[in-house]
Amino acid sequence: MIESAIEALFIVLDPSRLVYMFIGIGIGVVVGLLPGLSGTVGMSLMLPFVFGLDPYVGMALLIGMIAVIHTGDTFPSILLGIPGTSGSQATIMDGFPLAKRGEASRAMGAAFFCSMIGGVIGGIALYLTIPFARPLITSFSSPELFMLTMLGLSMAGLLAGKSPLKGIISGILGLLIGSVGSAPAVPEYRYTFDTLYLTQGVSLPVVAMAIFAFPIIITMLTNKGSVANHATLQSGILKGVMDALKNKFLVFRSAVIGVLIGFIPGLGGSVVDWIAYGAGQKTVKNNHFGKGDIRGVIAPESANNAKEGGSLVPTLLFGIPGSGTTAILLGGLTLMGLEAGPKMLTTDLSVTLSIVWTLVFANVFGALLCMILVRPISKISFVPGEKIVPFLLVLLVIGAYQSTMSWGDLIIFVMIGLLGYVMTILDWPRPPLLIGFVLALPAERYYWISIERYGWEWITNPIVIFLAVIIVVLLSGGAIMKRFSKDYEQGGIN
Amino acid sequence: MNKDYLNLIFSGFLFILFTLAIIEALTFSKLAQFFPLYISIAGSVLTLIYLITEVYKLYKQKVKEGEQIKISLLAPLRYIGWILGYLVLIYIGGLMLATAIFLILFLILESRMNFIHTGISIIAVLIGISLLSSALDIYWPTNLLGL
Repeated sequence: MIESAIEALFIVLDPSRLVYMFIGIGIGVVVGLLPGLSGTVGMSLMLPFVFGLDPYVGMALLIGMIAVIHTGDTFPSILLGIPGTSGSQATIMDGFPLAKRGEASRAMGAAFFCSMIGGVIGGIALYLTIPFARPLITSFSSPELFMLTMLGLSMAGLLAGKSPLKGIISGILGLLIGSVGSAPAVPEYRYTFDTLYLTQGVSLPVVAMAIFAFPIIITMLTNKGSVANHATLQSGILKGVMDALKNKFLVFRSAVIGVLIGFIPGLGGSVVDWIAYGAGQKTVKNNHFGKGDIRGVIAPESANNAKEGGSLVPTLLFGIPGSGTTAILLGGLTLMGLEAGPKMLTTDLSVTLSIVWTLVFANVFGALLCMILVRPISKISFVPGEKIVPFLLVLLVIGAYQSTMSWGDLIIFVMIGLLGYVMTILDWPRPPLLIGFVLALPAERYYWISIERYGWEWITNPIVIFLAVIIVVLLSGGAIMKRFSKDYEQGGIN
Repeated sequence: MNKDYLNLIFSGFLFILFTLAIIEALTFSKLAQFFPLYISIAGSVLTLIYLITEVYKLYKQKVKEGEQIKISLLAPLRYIGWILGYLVLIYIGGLMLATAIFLILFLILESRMNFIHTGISIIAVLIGISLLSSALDIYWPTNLLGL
């Protein structure tokens, strides 16, 4: 294992791959600091460009980006009081008051340093999980793998927010879109309406971009002028770093919380920061959280980067995407010829270990980049939406066309994009649709193989029953934890 | 437009979509049929349940004369028009020409950017597209003029 890790380190340090990692870091920071853009939008923008890439290069690009989004999103949270992404909402509680007191640099110094430490702890957690997960996952056959896809699909309910029914319908819609094209069990085309384009099914990058990025560009244009312009930057980054060092146990505790929440598919981004913030408030003595306490920045920022390492465990090792971002990552693996699951721990172990290294390096370099370029980078978050959107649209159109080099890609992009926009304005959750789409093929395939090989006996398999129990526990546990984080979100801060 | 009514229209659309998917799935062979058929039936039934509960909620809300949330469709339609216009331009004149025209019009009319910044931005984007195309072997959409 250690030998494989060292081998993976040399693969990651190859200059050609490092370039892609830095490109990913750069994009991740920009995506994070632009309010409105999220990890899912960033991932969907990148997805068409990883098609056919060397898996190490593609992963350097994607993981480099994912790793630092929660570092970049600190800028708008602290400077503008607007969350850059859903994972930086709690940072506003104390970061913005600190900025208004002229201590924005101190808050950002602490936030970047904690993001770095949290991200490294997340990478280590991913590495340490591999030896435990390997014997378990390699023993799985089609019934267990089918139940794992069901576990992934059950996330549709968890990611649905206030209305689980809407989430389930959205997930089923994704499954239906995923069943377009050739059937896995028999040579027959479905829902193609005699068009050649649809015989290969709808392209994942097109669906991902349409469902997440298209609605965002319309929303950014219609909500123009929402970005305020009031915080000023002074020196004090080192003071923030020292604050983080003084509160090293809080950093560690929050990072562990982040990793543990990352392990649970479906909770992720929008919850982790509030839970870490709430736990910080309960455990830190003499605090004045909510009124500009630096520890109120340290707790969520340590957790949200650490979460990424944790969330990669169910995604890479079990093929369970716990969020829109990891659902797209799962698709990215397929585009690069990889398959989440047992192979990631056997034949593709070096790719998994390269992801661990990329996660660690990207967090370190991303945080250092933000610290060094704090002034110029922060200016980008003041650029209004209508000046960014046209350039995003050009990138989206080029990206969408790369899937199959057909005008069908662009037509589907607009059609599903409009569906995504309507879902956005009517509060229908979109991540379940993507999860359903990504898992449609494996769900059908594993179900068919299970029935063909074992009849209905596979349902009595102990691991299948255990996974069914896990689904029930996760759904009920997730709902309880979401309620806990909501208490803080809705004025639980005293 | 009233958000609740729009939600009902959208839910109705989904119900019709799932129902049509059921009808289409019945024409597939048995092995190709089971998955799309089951999920379409599930989708159709759940959407119908959702639709009925929403209609009931809306009826109760009307009785109580609760607040109605309005959604403006004009502004989004204008920007959707820009996107469709950009695609039509690409179809006619190719990516580079369409991108240049689209950016000039959008940045000046919508973003209120001055001519110098617009010019610099467009040149930077066109150079960026060319570099990206040569570095990543990217294909451009085909067009009527063959440019």
